[in-house]
Amino acid sequence: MDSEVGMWSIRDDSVSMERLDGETILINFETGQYFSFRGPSADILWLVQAGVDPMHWPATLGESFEHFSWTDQVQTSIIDFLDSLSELGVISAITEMHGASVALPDDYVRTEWTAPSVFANDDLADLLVIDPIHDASEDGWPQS
Amino acid sequence: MDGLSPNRRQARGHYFASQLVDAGSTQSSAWFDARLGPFGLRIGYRTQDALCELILGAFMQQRSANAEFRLSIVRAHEMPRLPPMEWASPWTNAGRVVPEEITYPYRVFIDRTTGIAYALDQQRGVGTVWIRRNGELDLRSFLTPFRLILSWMSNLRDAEIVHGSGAVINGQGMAFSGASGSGKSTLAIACGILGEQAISDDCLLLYKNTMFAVYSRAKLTQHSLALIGGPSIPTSALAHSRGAKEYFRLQSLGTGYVSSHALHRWCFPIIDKRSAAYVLTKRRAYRMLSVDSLREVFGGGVRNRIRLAHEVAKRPCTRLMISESMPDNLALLRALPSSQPGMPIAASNWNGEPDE
Repeated sequence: MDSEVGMWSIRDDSVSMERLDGETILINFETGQYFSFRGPSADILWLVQAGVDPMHWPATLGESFEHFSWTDQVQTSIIDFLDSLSELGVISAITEMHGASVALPDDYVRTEWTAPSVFANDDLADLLVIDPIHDASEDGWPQS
Repeated sequence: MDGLSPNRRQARGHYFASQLVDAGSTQSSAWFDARLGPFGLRIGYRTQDALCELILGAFMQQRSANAEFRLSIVRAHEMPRLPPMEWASPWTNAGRVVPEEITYPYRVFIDRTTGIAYALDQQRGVGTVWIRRNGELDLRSFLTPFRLILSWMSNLRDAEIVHGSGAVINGQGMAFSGASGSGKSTLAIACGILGEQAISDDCLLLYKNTMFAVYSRAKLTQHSLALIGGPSIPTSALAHSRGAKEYFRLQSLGTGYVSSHALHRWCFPIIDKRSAAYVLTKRRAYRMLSVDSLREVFGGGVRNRIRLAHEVAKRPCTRLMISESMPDNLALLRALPSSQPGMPIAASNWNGEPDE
């Protein structure tokens, strides 16, 4: 079965993210929400960030997860996940992709596939909307 | 940019980092067991000279050889040529850390200003610093060395290093954060000399609601020492470094020193004509702490920002106007309301007006 997942890109203008040991931490500076993605959720985000065409996703995930099969159920769970990320302002739809197929990072032990999920933390939103490193007055950084 | 494809840049970045980290491990013939806050840090080296002693003297020694981290010091005469570095030139020229997505799981920074190259294998907690020839070095940067890679290591354990000093006043742990010249070192050392306890100068490691000393020494000017008064402290000065601050071992404060304590309050000092304090909003405090501390890790990453936001959100934040009278400043600190519930607010000069 081919992938019918749409094409997306990370909203680099408002989002910053880091991956370590299979976990991706992400801040949306527009909303001050932050997220922790683990396992398959972090891997889907990695594929979006790397600009890998969704047509390559079934093969890439199949090489990484045990007993993986690109079923309707899997595809729907990924589409729902990406729609949620879009609603939260983390990714946006695009019409063209040029990224080559890349392997997922070998930074944690993958076993069975589980549906990706997203949970937004907003307890620090009041602070994280501030970008002290890049916000600068006319005096320039770090005088702001 | 230099036309390298992302895959090729990544491959060269990995080669550079792995070569540097491996060289550190194989070159080191002696090891110094130190502490990085609550964690063990083994520091490896081969050349034992004045620079090596200056570096090792900055750390707190521990007897146990159990270490979460290993850091090797490689000198230019031990490894005259670094692996090719042109892949990193966009960031080296800009004085920035190479983005993690290029070097992952390594972290790399090539600092042309100080002549030090850093590489850390985040999966093993093993790092190397390469130092260029002695004659080209500014020794002042080795009084409290390698903050960047120590910060990376701490982050692997969900700990954060901030640019600040710390003290314990009436059992309340206070962190003083601010730019150079704001008085944070003077204030912390004054606490240690005048009847309270100093924890650290310059850097604090925050881990599980506790602040830890990172380095064993403090730096002060003679003017600051004169302001503090009290019993004299034997200080040292760097040879051939004009304008360098003097330094001393914090342990020489005796009972006026403690290496860790629970953190209760953030304080942001600024030198003024009289001693006073007012409440800082969380937003203002987060901005001040981030600008000062994330600069220390060259911008800071997503995790650094979230950790700092958490640290600010859960503690009271105070702006401190400090005067040249250290007894007045200490009286002000002692009068700050306890952050523990149920304690009386004793301060007569406590001003609860927010600054925003």
